[in-house]
Amino acid sequence: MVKKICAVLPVLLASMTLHADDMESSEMLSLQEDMQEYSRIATKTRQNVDYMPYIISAWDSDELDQLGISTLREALELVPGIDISIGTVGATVPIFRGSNPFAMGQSKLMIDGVVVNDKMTGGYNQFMDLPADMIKRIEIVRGPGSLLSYVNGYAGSIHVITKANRDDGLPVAPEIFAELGTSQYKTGGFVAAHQQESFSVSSDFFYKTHDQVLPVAIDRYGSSGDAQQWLENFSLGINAQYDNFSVKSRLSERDGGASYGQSFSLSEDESDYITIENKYVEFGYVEDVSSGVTAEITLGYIELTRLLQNKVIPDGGVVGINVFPNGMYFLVDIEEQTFYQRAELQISAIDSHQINLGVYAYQSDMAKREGRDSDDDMQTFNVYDILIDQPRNMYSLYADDLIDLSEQTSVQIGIKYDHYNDVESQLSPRIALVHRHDDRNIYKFMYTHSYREPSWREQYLTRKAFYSSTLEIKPEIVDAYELGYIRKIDLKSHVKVNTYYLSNKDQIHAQNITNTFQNSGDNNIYGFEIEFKKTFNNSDQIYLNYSYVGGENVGDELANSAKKMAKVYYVRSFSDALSLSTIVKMVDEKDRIEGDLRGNVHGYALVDLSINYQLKPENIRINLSVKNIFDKAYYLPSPDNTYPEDFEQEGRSMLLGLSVGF
Amino acid sequence: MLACQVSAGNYDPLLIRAQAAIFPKIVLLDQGLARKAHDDVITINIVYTAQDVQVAQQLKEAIEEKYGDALGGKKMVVSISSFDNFDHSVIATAYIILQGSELFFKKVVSHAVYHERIVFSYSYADFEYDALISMNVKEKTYIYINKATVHLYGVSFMPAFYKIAKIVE
Repeated sequence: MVKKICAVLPVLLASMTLHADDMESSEMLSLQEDMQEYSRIATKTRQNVDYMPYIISAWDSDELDQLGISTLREALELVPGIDISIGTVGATVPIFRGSNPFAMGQSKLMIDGVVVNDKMTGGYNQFMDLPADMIKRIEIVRGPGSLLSYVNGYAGSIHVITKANRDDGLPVAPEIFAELGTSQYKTGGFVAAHQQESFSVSSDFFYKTHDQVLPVAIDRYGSSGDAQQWLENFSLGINAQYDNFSVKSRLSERDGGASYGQSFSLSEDESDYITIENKYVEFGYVEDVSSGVTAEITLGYIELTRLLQNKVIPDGGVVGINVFPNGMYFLVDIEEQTFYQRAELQISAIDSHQINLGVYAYQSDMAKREGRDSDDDMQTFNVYDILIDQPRNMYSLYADDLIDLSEQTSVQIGIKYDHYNDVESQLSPRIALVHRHDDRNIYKFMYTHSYREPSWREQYLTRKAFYSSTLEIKPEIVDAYELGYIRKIDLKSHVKVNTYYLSNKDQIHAQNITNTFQNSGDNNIYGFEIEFKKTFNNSDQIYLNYSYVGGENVGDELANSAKKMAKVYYVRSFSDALSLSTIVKMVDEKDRIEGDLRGNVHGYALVDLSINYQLKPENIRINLSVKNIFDKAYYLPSPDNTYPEDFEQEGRSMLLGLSVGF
Repeated sequence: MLACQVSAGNYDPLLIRAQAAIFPKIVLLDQGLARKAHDDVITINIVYTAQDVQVAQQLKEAIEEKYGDALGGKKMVVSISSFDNFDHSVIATAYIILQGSELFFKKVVSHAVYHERIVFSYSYADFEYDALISMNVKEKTYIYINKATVHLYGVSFMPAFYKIAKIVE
C-alpha cells in the first residue's frame, strides 16, 4: 500500500516554475496542458466535489435516468435537508434546512451559469418543471455561498448544466425525448448540436402540458373544488460558440392554472392563469491573458413578464363590511428588465493559489407594473401601479482564493461587497478549510456570511394585494458554520456527514395579522445530514440520506418545514440494459407558526418505482415510472389564515418516457 | 459517449479519458524510447481481467481517438490483451494495467521489468504490485511515480518530468 506521498513540486502550473532548459520540451508542455485541462474539467464538472469547500450534492443525468426522475423538482426532492413548500399561486419553493419557508428567494437557481431568480418574488418556480432529459448535471450547494463566485446563495444554490451546454469537454450528443403520463401529461423535446471547426451551435427545446387538478376541501370563503394545476410549458435554448466568443440564450414560457390563488383562495374561474415568460441572452468572451491567467467577460439581458388573472373573491364574497356580488378579479401585468455585466480574472499562475477576482453589476427596471381589479366580471377595471417605480441597481466586487497550504490542506478565503441603490450594501466574507487526511478521509469546515436582498413584492407593493410591503425593509442576514466529514469507501461508495449552525437575522416574512412583509426577528437553526452511497456487484446501488433540523425559523417554532427527513433509493441492475429502481421519501410532520392553532402537518412516506430499459449501441432509453405507488394522500402546509386544510398533493401517477440519442 | 459507457467495476470515466490523453505522452518522455519502439512503432498494450474487457476497449478507442495511429512522429499501435492470454513473446513499448490481483500484476510487471518497459496502472493503489506510474484526477491532476520501483525498471525520463510528478514512497 501507499504509505506516504511526498510532493516534489506542485503540479499546478509547474510551467511557471520550470527552468528555461526544461521548457524546450514540447512534450512536457503538451503534457502539462493536458494535466491542466483535466484538472479544469474535474473542477468544472464537480468530479472532485468531495475536495471542494462546500457541502454539495451532484446528480448526473445517468443517475437521474435510472431513477426515473422526470423534472428538476423531483431531483431536488432527493437532496438531504430539502423540503418543499407552496407559495402564492401554487409556486413550488424548495426549503433548504428549514430556513425561512415563507421566502421564495432563499436559494438561487442558475441555468448554465445564468441566475434566473426573478426580482418580483425572488423565486424561480417557472423552471421547476424543467425536464431531466434536458439536464446533464445538477449541482446543489446546501448552505450559503455558491460554486460561482458572483452568486450569493442564502440557504443554498442550484446550478443546472444542460446537455446542450455540457462542460466536460465532450461533444453535445443530440437526443429526442418524449413522455406520456397521468393527467394527460405530455412532454416532447430535443437536444441538438452542430460543430464545424471552431464554430459550434447547440440547442434544446421542450414542450410540456398536463391538466392536473388537486382537490381542495374548503377555502377561507367556504368554497370547495379543485385547484387548477394545468400546465403549458415550453423552453427553447440556443447556444453558440466561436473561438473565444459564446452566446447563451433561452426563451421560456410557463402558463399554468391559478392553483391555490394569488390570495390563497380557490378561484371559481377555471380559466384563471398565471403566465411567466422568461427570456435571456448572455454574450461571453474568454481570453487566456497569459499562462494561468484567464479573463472572462459576460454581458447579459433578462426579461421576465408575469401575467396573472385570478378571481380572488367569489361571487357574493364578503371582505370586512364589503359584499362583492360578482366577486373580484385581480389581474397583474409586470415586466422586469435586467441588464447585467461581469468581468472576472481567474488566476492560477501563482503557485498553490486559485484566485477569482471580479466585478458584477446589474440594472433592473420595472418596465410594466400594472395591477387591475374588477368587481363586475371584467367588464370594467380599476387600473393602478402595483409596484412603486424603483429600479434596482447593484454592483458587486468579489475576490476569493483557494490556497493549497499543503497537498492535504486547502483554505478558501473570499470576500464579496455588494452595493445597492435601494437596499443596505452588504459585505460577505467566507472562510473554508478542507483537509484531506488521506484518500479516504476528508474533513471540511466552513464559515460564511451571506444575505438575501428583499424581493420587489416584499419592498415595493403600492397596496395590499393579499400581502403588503415594507419600504424600509432590510436584507435577511445569515452567519453559517458548517462542518463536514467524508469517508470514501471506494470510487462510487461513500459516507458523508455534516452538521451546521445558522444564525439568521432580520428574517423576512408576512406571517402576521396584516400579511405585511417585514423583518420579523432573528432565529437560529442547527442540524445535521448523513448520506450513504454504496455500489455493489459493479452496478447495483443503494443511497440513503437522513437529515435533522432543529431550532426555529418563525418566532419560536420551526414552522412549515420537516425536522426529520429520510430519502432512500435502490437501483437493481438485471443487465447492462435493464434496471429497476425504487425511491422512498419519508418526511416527518411539520409544526405550525405560533398562533396557528391547527394540528401539525402530517408526515408522509412516498414510494416511487421505475423500470429503465436502455439499449446502448442504439442509444434508446425507455422508462416506466409509477410515482407515489401506494396512492398515499399527503399534504404540504397552507399558510395560517388561508386554507383551513393543507394542500393535498398528487396521488399515484404513471409516466412513460422514451429518449433516443444520435 | 465514453462518459456514459465506462461502467464496469470502479472505473472513473474522466480518469480513463485523462489517462488516454496523458499516458502516451509520458511514453514519449522515456529517454530509452528509441530502442523500445521497434521499427519506429510505439506499441501500447492494455492488460485487463475478463470483466474489464469493455473498459480496456474504451481506453484503447480513447487513445486512438486522441492520437490516431501516430505518436510523437512515430507510428503507434494500441492493443489489448487479457491477463489470462498475456503473451510474453510480444514486447510492447509500454503497458497499461487495469485493475487486477497481485498475481496478475506480477505476470506483467516481471515481463516489463525484464525488458525495461514502463508499466502504468489505472490506480496508484496498485503501486504495491510494483507498477511504475499512475495518475489520478482529484482536486487537481496528479502523476505518480513509484519510487520503490524506479531502479527496478531502469527507465529514465526527461528530467523535467520528475519536476511535475509526485514520488510515492
